[in-house]
Amino acid sequence: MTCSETRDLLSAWLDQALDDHEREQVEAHLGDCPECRRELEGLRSTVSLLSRVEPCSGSRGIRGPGDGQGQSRAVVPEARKAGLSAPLRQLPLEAGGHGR
Amino acid sequence: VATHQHRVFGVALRMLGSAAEAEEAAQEAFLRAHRSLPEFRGEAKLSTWLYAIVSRLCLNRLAMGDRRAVRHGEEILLRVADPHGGPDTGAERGEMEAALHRAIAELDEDRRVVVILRDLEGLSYEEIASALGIELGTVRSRLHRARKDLKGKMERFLP
Repeated sequence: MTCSETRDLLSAWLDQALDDHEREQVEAHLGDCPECRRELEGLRSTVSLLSRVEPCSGSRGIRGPGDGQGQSRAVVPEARKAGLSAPLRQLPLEAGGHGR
Repeated sequence: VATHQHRVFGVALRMLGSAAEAEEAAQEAFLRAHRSLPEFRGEAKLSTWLYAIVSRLCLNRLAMGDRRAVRHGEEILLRVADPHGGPDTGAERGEMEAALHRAIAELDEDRRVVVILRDLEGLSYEEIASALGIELGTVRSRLHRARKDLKGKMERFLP
């Protein structure tokens, strides 16, 4: 396997998303190639930075009026037509009982 | 559901770069989900299903090209960089986070959505492929290119 072919698989290798054959080939190449190992470490550090990203703060538009943030300021036109001016929290999504 | 609301809004915000547009997209995603709930068979997690709906909505909006002009990334920076803002948050960390948010915002949208779903939201490759209706190999290559782009832009923050 060439350096170029190996590097294209490094992200998937980090995520353990390669099949056994690909994984063995990548690991064999990494064992012999310090440059690809450096590339791997750079990718690993990048993924590590991404893992530190905080979730976005909540939107005013999809909070309920009872949480002190006021009314929704974003209601899609279709929702408006249907009289659904309520924020998302008031939609009966819990009723389905689906979840993790 | 409250948890999903924030996550769905977060995906939309990172994709669209505008809080107002993200709110509209999130609202629309939940309305669509509500309408389609009888068709939801529980084969996927509810969260994955919602990510699929909002991701496709955002990609459609971006593809339509008639969006309000957004100076991409700037509004995101105001909302998500340094979310705690306390005295313990170092300037260097704040700078790094701002650069990272900017780098994510600058990715091509096809790569951006994949890196958001994988590295920020934790979906598996299979879940992303299903959510976006693309092949597993496409997820793999887009994610790799996105990470390579980010690595290039974040070089000075890497060890």
